[in-house]
Amino acid sequence: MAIALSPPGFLVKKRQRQLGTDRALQVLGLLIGIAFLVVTTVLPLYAILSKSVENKAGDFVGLTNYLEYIDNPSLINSITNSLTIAALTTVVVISLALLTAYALSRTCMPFKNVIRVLMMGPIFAPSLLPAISLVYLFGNQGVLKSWMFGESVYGPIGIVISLSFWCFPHAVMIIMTALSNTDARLYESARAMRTSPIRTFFTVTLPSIKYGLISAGFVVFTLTITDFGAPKVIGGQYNVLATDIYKQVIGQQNFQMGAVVSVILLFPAILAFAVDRWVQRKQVSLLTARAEPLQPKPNKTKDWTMFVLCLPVVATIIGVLGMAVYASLVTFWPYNLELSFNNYQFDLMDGGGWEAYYNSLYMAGYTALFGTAIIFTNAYLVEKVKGMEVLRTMLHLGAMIPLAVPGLVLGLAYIFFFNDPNNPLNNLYGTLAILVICTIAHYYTVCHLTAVTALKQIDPEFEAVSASLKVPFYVTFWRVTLPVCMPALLDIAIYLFVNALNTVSAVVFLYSSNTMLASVAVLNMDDAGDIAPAAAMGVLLMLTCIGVRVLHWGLSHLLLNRTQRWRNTRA
Amino acid sequence: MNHAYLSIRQLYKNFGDFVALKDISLDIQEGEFVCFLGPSGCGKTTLLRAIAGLDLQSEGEIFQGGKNISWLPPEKRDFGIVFQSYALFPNLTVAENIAYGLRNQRTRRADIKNRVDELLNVIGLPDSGRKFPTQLSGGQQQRVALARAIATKPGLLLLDEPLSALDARVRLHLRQEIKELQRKLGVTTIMVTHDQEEALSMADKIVVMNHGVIEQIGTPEEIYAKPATEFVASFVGTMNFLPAARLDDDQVQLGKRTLSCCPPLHDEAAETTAANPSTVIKVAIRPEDIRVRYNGDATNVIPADVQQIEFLGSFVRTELLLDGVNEPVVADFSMNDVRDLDIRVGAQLKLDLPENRLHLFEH
Ligand SMILES: Nc1ncnc2c1ncn2[C@@H]1O[C@H](COP(=O)(O)OP(=O)(O)OP(=O)(O)O)[C@@H](O)[C@H]1O
Ligand SMILES: [Mg+2]
Repeated sequence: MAIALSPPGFLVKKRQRQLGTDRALQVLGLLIGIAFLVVTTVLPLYAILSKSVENKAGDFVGLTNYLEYIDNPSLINSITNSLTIAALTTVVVISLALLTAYALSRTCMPFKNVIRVLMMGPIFAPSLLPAISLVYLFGNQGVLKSWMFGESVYGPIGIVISLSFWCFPHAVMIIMTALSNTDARLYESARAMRTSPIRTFFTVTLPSIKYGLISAGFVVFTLTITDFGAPKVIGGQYNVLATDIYKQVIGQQNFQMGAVVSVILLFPAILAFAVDRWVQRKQVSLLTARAEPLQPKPNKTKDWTMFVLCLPVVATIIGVLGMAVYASLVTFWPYNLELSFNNYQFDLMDGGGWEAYYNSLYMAGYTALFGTAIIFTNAYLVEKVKGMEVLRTMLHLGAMIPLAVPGLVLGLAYIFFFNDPNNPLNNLYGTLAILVICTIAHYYTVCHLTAVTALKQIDPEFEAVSASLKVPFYVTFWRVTLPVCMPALLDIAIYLFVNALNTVSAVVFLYSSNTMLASVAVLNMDDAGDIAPAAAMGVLLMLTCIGVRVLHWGLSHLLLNRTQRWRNTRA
Repeated sequence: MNHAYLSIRQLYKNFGDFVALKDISLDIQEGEFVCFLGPSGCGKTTLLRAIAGLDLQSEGEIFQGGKNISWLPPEKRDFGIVFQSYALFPNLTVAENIAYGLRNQRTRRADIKNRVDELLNVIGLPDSGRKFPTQLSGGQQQRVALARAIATKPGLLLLDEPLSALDARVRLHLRQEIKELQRKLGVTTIMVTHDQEEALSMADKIVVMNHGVIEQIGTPEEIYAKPATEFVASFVGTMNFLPAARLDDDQVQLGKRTLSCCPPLHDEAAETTAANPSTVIKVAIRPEDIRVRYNGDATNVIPADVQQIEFLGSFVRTELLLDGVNEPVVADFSMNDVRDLDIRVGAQLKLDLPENRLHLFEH
């Protein structure tokens, strides 16, 4: 009764929160972040969608282009081809990666650390490089042509091998993470119940890495179906969706059909994206359980068996990468096998010369620098700002979109969006800036997730404490959050750098004569028949990435010692 | 406004459909040490964060020092805060952590250094200024967090379960230190805790909360001796509850017996029961209030059988069956009583339930 007499709280006029400077800046930051993603992904995607329902004159024609697509048997054939390639590659990669990851994380096999480093090799090269190497190994003048039993390497076989090679490290890393998250106690109980090793593998190991396998499978599937480098180099007459887009746009200048194929290529990528999100959610719940880490114990038979099983994989990696390096050094294949640096004289050939390489370095450098800054700031706003759920959710969802967009589609979308004379950003077209922006957008999601994970690990009350001390949030961001997240920042920067250096798909539509890139040069030189210089440029990119990686490793050690002293100083 | 330093008026907080705080009104005087006490999830932290402006209330107003701060962002309010997790900046040294808020106030470098040294002395860590937080123990880290919070001399100090991450001994020690420091500085302090002992020993005033409402506000003695509701009685200390029937203003029926009781009955209860005699109620009494030795001033004597005895050091806790009552009753007796009266399992005692120690609660 007493409550009814007091002035009812719900009727008291609610007053708005007063906007402090901090708050205003945060809102501004969120809006800028959202605007960035809208301009760099959402609007270009809209442009490509609308292009696919227009005729050459730009009038709306409904699904006419799609009907035309369906009526064209050679185009529709590519769908089957792409799916076949992706399925085959996924099966090959996942089985080999499971074997390798298991050997690396669950045994004490000899040379484990060397093998672990070697496995990462393919990640440092563009997908064109293994394809070129295969040409030297099994092509018309290949050293091991007889191994093909008369089959041609130009076609599905070559594509599957190249892509398997190139996707392999991604799958190994995901599966190894899954394997390392397993609870040792399960194995102890299995042992106590005298379960046979095989049965343990099927009843304990496999179920516990189920989600890791699914996730790896879809990552490989997406990488494969959207890759353009390998099928371009070694696909021969075998058309896939990615090469179709390129041919429609570059070969036939048929932008509408390019847009249609792009939209079709979006579907498998979106499916993979949805599955990946679902898996991530499942996996989180697995991880929260308190688990004992598993330490592999030496076991002679098992260790050596796994080592022998891993040997073919190791041999392949050394063989393919070694062949590429060797081919780049051979003076004139196969007639003059003397070694020289002739193929590295890029300025003597078409394809952009050394200029392209320097452009690539600049492009990758800017991408790493600005990309890390933009992505981390946005992730900070998503993760650490209080309230403003709507803006933060929008920014977070926006950050997820790029994962579902294949590079080639994004590149084409940029043509449609930025090359439009009505677009005020039109003058970006043909500059290095648009290459940087496109690459940041292309690789945004993985970096965003890395940043969010790192931010989640730091105390949620830092912002509250600094507000109580009347220190603006951006000071705390600079003095505390950034230094604490330095390892994650370096990871993001190196990821962006390596990918920016090697990417072909997103930038192949966007470079101009002034902004030729090395990865595109590899493609163009290969196209023009200059395979050896193409291999040389590819090898150069790979060595650069490895060099940067080593530099990154040294730098993070230095930084860790200097700014992260507190990490190692537990009393 | 009244003269309270901090005044909360009809505060509500909703999370979607869930009402986390309901009609909270509260006055806190300058220099007071107030504890918010309640079980997990009752809304203590929510209320504290509303006072800090970290999570705004849905409805209601807050005044600090006569100023309406209800909708101000946290950086425009005047408070220092300490969290259970310490929230020390791991990459800054202890001294840098303490100086964090000072640097921003454009204090002179030398003054900052003096203030930091002074605070390091206050928290008893004069030589730890150059260490990193991870090099300190939990209790030391919490002291640094406290020093950081009071460095800028805020008018209000907010502590959210500052001791619950520490082990028992450190907790006991730090409890006294915080209390002493607070008295010395005279800073108005609000501490959130679910540990009744902590609240009883430290607070000038306790606010007992449950399910988002305030159950009682009072000094530790009032809360303990005169719990306003059954919830407070059961949450703070130990209490026996026995079903009884109300006969009139100063008599209740327990089993076949009539007990006399003082009627400082809580008004609400009095109103309804007076109009409606022989209502079912609960009689409550604390274990230590049951007397086994009395000299003629006994008010309600009841025979009882000792069922169980538990030795707890300086006293024993017994479980008894009162004559005519089905529920067992817990009573504490001193070692002297046990020795002199030969209290053991199976013994028959005549107990006094003093009328001024009986609490009556609506069912
Ligand atoms: N952001 C939120 N969204 C939804 N419900 C919330 C949120 N924050 C708190 N709650 C709910 O509000 C209630 C009060 O929470 P609060 O954190 O204030 O409890 P507490 O008294 O501090 O408990 P504890 O002793 O566990 O810290 C809880 O039931 C909680 O589940
Ligand atoms: Mg709490």
